[in-house]
Amino acid sequence: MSGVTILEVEGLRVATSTHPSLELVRGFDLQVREGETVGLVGESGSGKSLTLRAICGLLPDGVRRSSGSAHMIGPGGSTVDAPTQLGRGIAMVFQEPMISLNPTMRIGDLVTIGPRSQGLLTRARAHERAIELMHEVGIADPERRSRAWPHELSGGLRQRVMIAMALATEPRILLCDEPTTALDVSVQDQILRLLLGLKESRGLAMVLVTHDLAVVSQVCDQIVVMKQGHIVEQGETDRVLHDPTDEYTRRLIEAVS
Amino acid sequence: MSPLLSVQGVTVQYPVGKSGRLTAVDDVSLDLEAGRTLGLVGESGCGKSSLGRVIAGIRVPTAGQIVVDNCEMTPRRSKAEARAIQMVFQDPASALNPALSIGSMLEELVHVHGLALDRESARDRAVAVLESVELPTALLDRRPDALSGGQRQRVGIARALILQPRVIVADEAVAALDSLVKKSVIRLLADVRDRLGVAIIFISHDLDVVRQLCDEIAVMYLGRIVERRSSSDLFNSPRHPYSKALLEARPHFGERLDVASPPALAGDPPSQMELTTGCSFAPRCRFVKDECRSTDPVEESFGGSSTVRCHFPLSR
Amino acid sequence: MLATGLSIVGLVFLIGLLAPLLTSHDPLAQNVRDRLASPSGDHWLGTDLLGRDVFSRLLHGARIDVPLAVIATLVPAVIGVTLGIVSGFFGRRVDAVVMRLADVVQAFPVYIFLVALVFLLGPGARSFVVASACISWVGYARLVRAEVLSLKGRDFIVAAQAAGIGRRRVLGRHLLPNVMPQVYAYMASDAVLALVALASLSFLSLGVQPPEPEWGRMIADGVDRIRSEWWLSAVPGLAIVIVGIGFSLVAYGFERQAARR
Repeated sequence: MSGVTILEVEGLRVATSTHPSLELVRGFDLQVREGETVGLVGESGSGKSLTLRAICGLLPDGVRRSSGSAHMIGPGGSTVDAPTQLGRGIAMVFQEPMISLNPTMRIGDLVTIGPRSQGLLTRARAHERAIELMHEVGIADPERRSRAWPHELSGGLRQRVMIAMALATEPRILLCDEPTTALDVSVQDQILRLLLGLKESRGLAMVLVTHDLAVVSQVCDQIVVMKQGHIVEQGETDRVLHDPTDEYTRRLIEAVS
Repeated sequence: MSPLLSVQGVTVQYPVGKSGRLTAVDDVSLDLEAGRTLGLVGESGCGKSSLGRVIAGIRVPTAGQIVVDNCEMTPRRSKAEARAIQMVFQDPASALNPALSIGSMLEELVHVHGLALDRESARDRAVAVLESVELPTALLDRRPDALSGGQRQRVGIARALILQPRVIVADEAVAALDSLVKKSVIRLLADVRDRLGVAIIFISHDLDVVRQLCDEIAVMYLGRIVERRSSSDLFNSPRHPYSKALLEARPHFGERLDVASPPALAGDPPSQMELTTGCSFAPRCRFVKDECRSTDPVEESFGGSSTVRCHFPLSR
Repeated sequence: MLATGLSIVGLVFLIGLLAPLLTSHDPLAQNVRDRLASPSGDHWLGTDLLGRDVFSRLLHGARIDVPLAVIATLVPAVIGVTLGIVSGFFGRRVDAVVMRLADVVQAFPVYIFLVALVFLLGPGARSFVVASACISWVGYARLVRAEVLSLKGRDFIVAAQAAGIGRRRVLGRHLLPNVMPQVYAYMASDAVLALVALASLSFLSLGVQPPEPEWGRMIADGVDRIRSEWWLSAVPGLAIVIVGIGFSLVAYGFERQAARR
């Protein structure tokens, strides 16, 4: 993990479109370095999911980024607006694989849908690439699985497919919105190990949104604690979890340990 | 002293397709004393929810019976029997009727079971039960959409309590709540158990939550109880390899994940429709031996109500 | 939205109710000598082919069209909602029978079926209501059945049954109130269709019979004079549109309410 910053978020604010004074995220700052995992933690209503979506430009209807910026920083120090980089350096992994995968497409086609739609892969090469990626995310018997439909797979397998889809776009950073919340604990263990493994093998940076403090303590280098749209505490995971400065953080830790 | 609740040989099967059958619960028996809490844990497909629903009378079992206070419950519970075992549901959003105020919902239950002679005493009972779950009585006139998730869950507990049950089945009752709210609802359930001597069956996928509330824990895998121990014994020295795997797999606060070591449990649970010879956990067991694949292990008791279903239970 | 719609419909209904007080002319009184008169101080909208006061006929028409549209909506609604609940809740054989019956009814094109029924039963208001009942219940039944099926599995229904509440009570106190908002929305839209169907049938001489001042009938009467005395058809037509808008606004208002749940 080098010290180079690849994602810079400054003063990000998210508000409802109809009432701009109703802010859901009130000033969010973050720097993510190459290969770093950041845990974004908070209870429901903290704004953590909206923050993630604002960074990559996937905000739902009725909500928009009202001010602030999010930039990806290129090798030469060049900056580019993060939302334009979705699928070209930023990839997102969602919580519910059941509804995030197109049920009318076979797994093999789904995995490479990103690069294929950008014209980066020929049909022939696409299938090969799909098998490679499925292998990388630990899907056994990828040749057979590539012909399966999403509904035929278990939750864990579907999440692996989602991660493979994300990797197909050769991202430098993965934005994960509660990727293991809907999974059984043993499958969560497998997926978290997979994500950490990818961090090491590909130098992939990650922002992981979760309500589970224990997950963050296992997987993340940096932690950001949010409450009602604000960041209440931010810093190196070990330091924050052992020696929190904020009362809210303290209470969250108490609830888990 | 005979147990308050006795689950005897309960099996739940669903027909699938033309000739297939899915076995959700496979010949499960357990006893529970008054004032005790039993946690029922396991992953998807282990049958804990189906078992919980059979106990609560919501689902009719394919075989087996539920006995409370030495009286066998009819599979489709009568009104009087319904009072004995009540359920608290997982999703605060759908567990309450959006068209009824909290007070109407509670008073209706009082009325239907003839627990009060007039509207005033019905109202008094509703007030009393809301107070017992630490909610302000002003909520009686509000509808569920005006309440927070934690408040709705407390109302769900109140609804279960107003019929003065002997047993409460809580099906993932805190799963949908924020961590800070979870603690207070768990504390409430413990309080209810201590004050009223209600036996609680607490279904959850979260071992750490179960540990906070339950005296004993039963671990389920593919429709069977593979281990039953006191909470502390299970956490300190699990005897079934699956229990051990679950304990290892859960995220441990403060410990970094070591990617070099293999996952606690690999693969996915097999289909509930294929009948396997031998132990159902054998395909994924780290300690599997030949005998495990050929013979089905029998449930063995040791010390009190502790049981384990394994050919080679782990020693301490 | 709901308030506006209800006001419009309510106002028209009130006008109809008070019609005898609002105009001195008898809607049925013919005066052939004074026929096709232009609007004047005495006859605010002139007279029709038989010398009857158009304004009076317009107001009295409200006493026919609005109540009939409402009744022709209520009757199938009651039938359809009942069948829908029973079908959705009890399922299996009852459901199969009701749904097949619905399929049969829906297989016929609405207007053809309507006209055929009215023809068989003899033209008139009563036949119209009966025919509507036979045809329109299907929409309600399907709507309610779908709602009930989706609500049946919801925890609060399961909880009510588990708490020992009998099935009939669960249906009436727990299911029904959650189904009704959508039903009200549907009813209001249906009322527009009923109004237009009634006007159309009367236009074809199969609905309300002359000399009753039904708006559709009035449009038909004025069709031949549309180039000269255009208001004879246009004004009752406009009345239908206004009431139709009123009902539509009511429907929209209910829909918003139902969506909020």
